[in-house]
Amino acid sequence: MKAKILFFDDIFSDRFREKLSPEHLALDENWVAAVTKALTDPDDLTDITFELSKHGDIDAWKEIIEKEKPDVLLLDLFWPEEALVKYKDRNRGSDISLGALEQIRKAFPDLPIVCYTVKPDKELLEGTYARGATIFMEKLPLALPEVQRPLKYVLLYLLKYAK
Amino acid sequence: MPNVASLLERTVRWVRLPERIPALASSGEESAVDLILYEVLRLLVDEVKADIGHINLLPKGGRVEKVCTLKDRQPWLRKTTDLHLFDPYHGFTGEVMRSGKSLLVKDIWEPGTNDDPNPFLEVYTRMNERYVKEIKAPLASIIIAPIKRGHDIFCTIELGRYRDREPFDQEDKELIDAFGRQYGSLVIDYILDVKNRIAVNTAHRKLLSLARLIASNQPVDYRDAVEAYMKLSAADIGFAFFKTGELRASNYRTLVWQGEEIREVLLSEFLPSSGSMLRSDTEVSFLIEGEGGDDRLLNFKKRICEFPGVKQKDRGFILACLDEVRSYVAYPLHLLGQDLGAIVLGSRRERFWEFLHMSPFLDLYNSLLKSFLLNERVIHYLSDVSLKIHNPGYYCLAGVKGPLALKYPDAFQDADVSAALAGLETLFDELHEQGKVLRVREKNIHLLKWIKAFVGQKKALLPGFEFEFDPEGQSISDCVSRAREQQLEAVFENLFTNSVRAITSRQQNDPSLIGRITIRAWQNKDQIKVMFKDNGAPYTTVSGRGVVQVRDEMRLLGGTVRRYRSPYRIVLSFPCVQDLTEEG
Repeated sequence: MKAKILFFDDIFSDRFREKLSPEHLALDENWVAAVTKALTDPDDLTDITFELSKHGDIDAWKEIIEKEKPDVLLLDLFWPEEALVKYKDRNRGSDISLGALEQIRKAFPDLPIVCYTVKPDKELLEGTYARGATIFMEKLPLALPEVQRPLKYVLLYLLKYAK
Repeated sequence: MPNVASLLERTVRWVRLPERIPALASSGEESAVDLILYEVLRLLVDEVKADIGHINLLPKGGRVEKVCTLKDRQPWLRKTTDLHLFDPYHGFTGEVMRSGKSLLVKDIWEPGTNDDPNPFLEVYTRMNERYVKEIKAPLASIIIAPIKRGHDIFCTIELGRYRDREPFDQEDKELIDAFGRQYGSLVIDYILDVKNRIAVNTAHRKLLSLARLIASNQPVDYRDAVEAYMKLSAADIGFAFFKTGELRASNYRTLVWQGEEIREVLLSEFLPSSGSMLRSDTEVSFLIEGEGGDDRLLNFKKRICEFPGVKQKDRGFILACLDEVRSYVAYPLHLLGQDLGAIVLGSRRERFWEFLHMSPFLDLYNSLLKSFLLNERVIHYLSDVSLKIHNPGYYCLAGVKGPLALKYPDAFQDADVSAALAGLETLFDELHEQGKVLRVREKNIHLLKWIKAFVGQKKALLPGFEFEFDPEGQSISDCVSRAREQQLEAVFENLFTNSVRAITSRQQNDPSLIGRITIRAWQNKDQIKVMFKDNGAPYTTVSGRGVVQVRDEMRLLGGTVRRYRSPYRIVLSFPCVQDLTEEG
């Protein structure tokens, strides 16, 4: 069985990448590589092959979802550079994702959506579920595939059992 | 010799002034000053049968201006004539300022002699052409009388007769002197008090709007911020420099104005020269008095000529303004080691420093603006710290932990290393949270309680008005709206301002009218409706009674605005939310 995971994270946004130094960008890339490895390495436990599609243009969520037809959406919750453009305020990074989440849920009511952020707080947790997230998770920036592997089982549950 | 009996008889009419003036001042709006000035000037013009009259205000640290001019008993338009440039040290007024005594001139156009030159003929070529043609050319005889506080002349009254009429005589001059002695200081002080009250209101409104801008994290409207300097200072040319951007950036949002024209230019990566008032060095921490063509202005002019990225029109305007400055006072905006910018108040008049100094109100505004600018930067820095902890901070920490756990598991498990890593994580968490403290947050606000408190504040500020606030039904007091207080303030501030203007407009024709503002509120399903109306009259506006801003804020609040006519009223609809908090 194959499953397509749409990965929306500002790490893939040109606007954000321009702000980071190459050294810091490498750390982010290492984390992405660890998540990718954790999800795509074959194993004997599951019969699902994950395919990851990575995007950083959150404003184009509709076109991207329609084109990619994902089975699950992974959505980063904090988009400071996009917030700077939209609200003139980097601190409103989560308003970007929450706004998109609300609309995605309306347009795709059955799409499982996993939301994550580095430092969760109660307000964000509640706001995310109120707008239709399926699961809210804490993002661990450790670039270790074995640490990221539990995500695979969360996705597996959403794909096979949550419907 | 003047006829004393005649003088006494004529001065009796002035007794009515102290009764009349407070009634005219009741609105507290800018128009009140004009009403009083024209009332006083008409009385004087009538008493000495003058054809033209002026009242010139010369307050130290305020606008030096011909505040009103009557020609043939009608107000003479001054909006386009730049009379604000009135120079009290030259012409016949200069003689009055020097002698401290009133002056009677039979013919202002009479050529002087080498020993006794005509001071008017020395300056009239520098005056506004239209002013000379319409006001000075028909005149022959004038009286200029000083109004004093002790020895300080803070006002002059100037009256003139056309050349085809009998010139003023000594009795006329005595009459005006008598007015100056008996009522002049009292009346003009009162006018200045009203102007000051308006100045306080202006500064208050600007500061409130700045405070709301900061609370909303919207960019500061610098044009709006400098309007107080344009309106409340004696400067006819001004420069405002506001440092913007990140901690190490040296960008200056620069506003330059002359008269009513203002331009905003961003000087990116503009590094202030050594000794510049823009640098927080000790020797330039205090205000600086300077003259046109001094090293400071010349250096700035040179830099503007060469500075890249400035549009030709803007560059031309800045250079033209710099060329016009004959004297200036510069106020550096430095606070806690931060160079926040500078305000430069300039004049086309030489050695005009004592007038260019800020009035107490403007000084207060300036100090608070400085604090707001610092606030703005502190918020920016704090937010930057938080964001940097978020990324790359946490990623760097993870970048240490990951390889350590993989490659050196013993070291990773070492108690000292673990404690240090845990300590770093705790420190990052703390800094991350502190940076998030100052951010925009909406609250659940009990709308009715909030409106009641806001109306209470307005009652104190507008004692001459009546307010009626009538919420319908018990359940409405529990209604809660999701909003920021600053949004509600912006909405209601606009509505109150509009109502005060409308009422003042009607009071100009009917001074006995008591202004009344009525607010009703009721619940309609999941909405709170608030109706706002007043007993004012329609008035001309540029911005449409501030309704644009009200609509914008209401849209952000998820509500609507409806405007009705006959009678004019506004109905706001606020969405009602469930109150999940304990305090509301």
